[in-house]
Amino acid sequence: MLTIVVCVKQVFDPEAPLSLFQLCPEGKKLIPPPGTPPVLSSFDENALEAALYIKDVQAAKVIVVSMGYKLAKPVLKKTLAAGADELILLEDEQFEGLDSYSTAHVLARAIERIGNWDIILCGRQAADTDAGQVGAGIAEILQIPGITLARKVEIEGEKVRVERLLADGYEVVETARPVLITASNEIGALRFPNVKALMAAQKMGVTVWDAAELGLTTAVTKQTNLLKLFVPERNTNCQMISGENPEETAEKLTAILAIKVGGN
Amino acid sequence: MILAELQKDRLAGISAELVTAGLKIAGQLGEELSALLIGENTGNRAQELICLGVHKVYVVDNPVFSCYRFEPYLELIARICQEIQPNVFLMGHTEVGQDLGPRLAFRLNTGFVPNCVELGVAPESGLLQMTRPVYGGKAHGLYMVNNGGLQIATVAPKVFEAALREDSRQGKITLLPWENEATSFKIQVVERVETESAGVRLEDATVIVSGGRGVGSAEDFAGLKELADTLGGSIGASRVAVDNNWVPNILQVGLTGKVVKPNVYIAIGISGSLQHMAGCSTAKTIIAINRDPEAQIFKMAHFGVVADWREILPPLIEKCKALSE
Ligand SMILES: Cc1cc2nc3c(=O)[nH]c(=O)nc-3n(C[C@H](O)[C@H](O)[C@H](O)COP(=O)(O)OP(=O)(O)OC[C@H]3O[C@@H](n4cnc5c(N)ncnc54)[C@H](O)[C@@H]3O)c2cc1C
Ligand SMILES: Nc1ncnc2c1ncn2[C@@H]1O[C@H](COP(=O)(O)O)[C@@H](O)[C@H]1O
Repeated sequence: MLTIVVCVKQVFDPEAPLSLFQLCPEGKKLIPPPGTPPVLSSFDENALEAALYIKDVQAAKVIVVSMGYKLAKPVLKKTLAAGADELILLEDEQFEGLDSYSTAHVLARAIERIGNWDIILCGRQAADTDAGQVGAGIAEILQIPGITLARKVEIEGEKVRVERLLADGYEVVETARPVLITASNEIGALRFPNVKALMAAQKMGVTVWDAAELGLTTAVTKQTNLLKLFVPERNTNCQMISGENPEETAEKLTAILAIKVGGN
Repeated sequence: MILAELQKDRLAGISAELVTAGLKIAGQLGEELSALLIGENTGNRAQELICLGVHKVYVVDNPVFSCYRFEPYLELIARICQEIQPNVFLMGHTEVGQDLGPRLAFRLNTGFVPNCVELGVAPESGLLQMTRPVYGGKAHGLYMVNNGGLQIATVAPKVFEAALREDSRQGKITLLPWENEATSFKIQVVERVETESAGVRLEDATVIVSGGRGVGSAEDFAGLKELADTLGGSIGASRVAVDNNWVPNILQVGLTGKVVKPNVYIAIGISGSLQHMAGCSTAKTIIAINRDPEAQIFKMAHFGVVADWREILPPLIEKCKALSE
């Protein structure tokens, strides 16, 4: 049986409008409006879907790992409802505000502890950091091949076959297991669990490991430092075009295009 | 040092932008700018880099590098970074840079900052200060690498102006060997598939007619294509349009799609999420057609029309056709 580990991060809803967010006083964090529940980072949902897609056709155990502090269990349990077999939370005060480098080290440590895995799946980038770094980091730490930007993942006997995005198309690559793969949205949306599965999942137990449990006795080193966050200025000077009828509006737009298409 | 990227046999657009970014940093540090050029039959590309302003070009020319492959590229670049010891290594935030950058940083045990839109040097420490969008573009973060060694970053496309060629420029070209005779790697490329797209390439288009969820269907994109063709441009799309399979994913504009910088970007039925605008906000003129007057796109466009696009598009195509005749 294959063991597939999926790294899933909770983030605050990336689609929520900017105006609702506030910069914290030290300027290092954005604070979402109170009471808004976090969501699963969208590419991590795609990664989970890729794992479940494999489990659809062959015997596989899907283990979801999520790291953070004060994690929202009900939100993360959605992964169980969708079909994951096990949920492991890495929770510790130390795990707050880590950079990609240290995050990859903590996750790699947990994956080593799980042992006997065949495939690790991550999102191509988290919806808050937008970094796209942790997956590559885990692969390097564990010294296994890493394949980024997958649009399809299939098992072919002893091999894993991945369609990987390129600027003008895609390439098909193959590698032996173990391997780490990062998922892009082309993989497809996470299947929607039904209400019964959602309710059953809320009753399922989860495993929680803290830093000590992972043998991380000293603070995890960071390689990068965030000095400050700021909200960039944006052009808000939009000139509205309208007419008596669509023809007139189109006429005015055409006049603008006549000037602007040339680069003026 | 910058990594020059090739697109087929030519220097990719990002390479000239990296020269600009690299010269800025090198100038502030009082150092020379070097470039690493990897490929097969690289011909005059090294000289071209010098004409763009690079002082020193290292070339590795070998059939192994006929196209981008993760393992040999990573092995080679890691080795060169260790031998030549640049302070700064810049790549484009392209498929190549996104693939290589993080793993390279982990291999060399140093920090990495992706998708930088601004680069500078801290006056006291001489360390790189890197600004990049986070939270989908809701904020920008200013980052520094912790230790003083190699600093690795990828640079967002279309942010820095392309360096201009001057044929009189002179510099040094050094050939470096590729000694690893291995021809097989752990990851095997079985095939490469190019997605067909008729007409002007999205990244090169001077006019882009882009559609989102509001367009409604694959068939409806034909109307957008007609306008794009009339204006000599390309169509583009939001992620929602791609996820619905209305258009191929190589037409996606945004944070995780293409970054474009046309003269005119016409956004039709696109709400203006920051993740989308990350791919088109440097367009010279943005025109938005959206039926919702409150749509966020009107906060970022230069011209806006509040209407159902289905009413506006037919007369617009007609008048634009008349114009180009
Ligand atoms: C990490 C991450 C990365 C992402 N990367 C990208 C990316 O690279 N590119 C990207 O595009 N998105 C990206 N997204 C998704 C992004 O956040 C938005 O969900 C997406 O851009 C919304 O697409 P849309 O504007 O087409 O759809 P919507 O937000 O649903 O907007 C549709 C608009 O169409 C208008 N409309 C509807 N009908 C009509 C009509 N008949 N006439 C005129 N107007 C009409 C509506 O008023 C509405 O404003 C990313 C998201 C995440 C979390
Ligand atoms: N705290 C976390 N817990 C679980 N997985 C994570 C965490 N942070 C990052 N990841 C994984 O690493 C991917 C890339 O993250 P990043 O490098 O931050 O963009 C994410 O899509 C997740 O799959």
